[in-house]
Amino acid sequence: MRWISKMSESAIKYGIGALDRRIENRKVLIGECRHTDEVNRKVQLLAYSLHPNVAHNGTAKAALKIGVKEI
Amino acid sequence: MTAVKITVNGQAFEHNVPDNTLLVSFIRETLGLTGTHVGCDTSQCGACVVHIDGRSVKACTMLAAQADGSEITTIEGIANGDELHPMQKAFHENHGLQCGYCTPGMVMSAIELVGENKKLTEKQIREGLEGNICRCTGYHNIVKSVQAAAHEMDI
Ligand code: FES
Ligand code: FES
Repeated sequence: MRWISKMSESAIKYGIGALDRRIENRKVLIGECRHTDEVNRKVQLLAYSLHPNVAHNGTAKAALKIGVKEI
Repeated sequence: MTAVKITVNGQAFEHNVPDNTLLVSFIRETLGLTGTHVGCDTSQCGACVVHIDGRSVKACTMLAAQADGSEITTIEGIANGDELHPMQKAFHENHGLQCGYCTPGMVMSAIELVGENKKLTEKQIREGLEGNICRCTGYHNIVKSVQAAAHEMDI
């Protein structure tokens, strides 16, 4: 069975909550949108947040050892 | 290193890559086709789905070397110039995407699904897309989009 909206055709097109065909959709649909993961500059600041899953400061100490600066 | 010869979106490529290169990394990093996304890297989300010899496959589950000799289609290769594929059009018209991260995989999976059966029920669509996870849409408009595309592709 095809999905049938309970809203009237005009409500779907023009009413509150009407579906909006966003202009950025096209880029996403053809595989041309860019996400932050795809930005790779030569000199780029990366931030990692380390979060231990137990109450222990071992993770923080380990992070400091491998050259991560405490913020 | 392994030599990988494949055709992607109709274009032939040949590259030497480390043996452990995943197909999705090959597509994104070696070929620069970043329309195929990586959501989990562990075969769960379906953001990386591409077609290999006509079948939809999660590109993070296989090595580039395993795809040697095959024909691959990615989200960049399904539109006909400016004209969107009916599935892309249906997603656009039915608001089947929000952030769009899952969309390339959703569209590629849905195309295969509809290719197998154009008279899909809502349940069959939901089951068929079980391997694709969307964090935004609540799936409602995705199902609607697939139904609309199936109708279009059936004519
Ligand atoms: S990235 Fe391949 S299934 Fe999630
Ligand atoms: S549209 Fe955002 S994850 Fe599906």
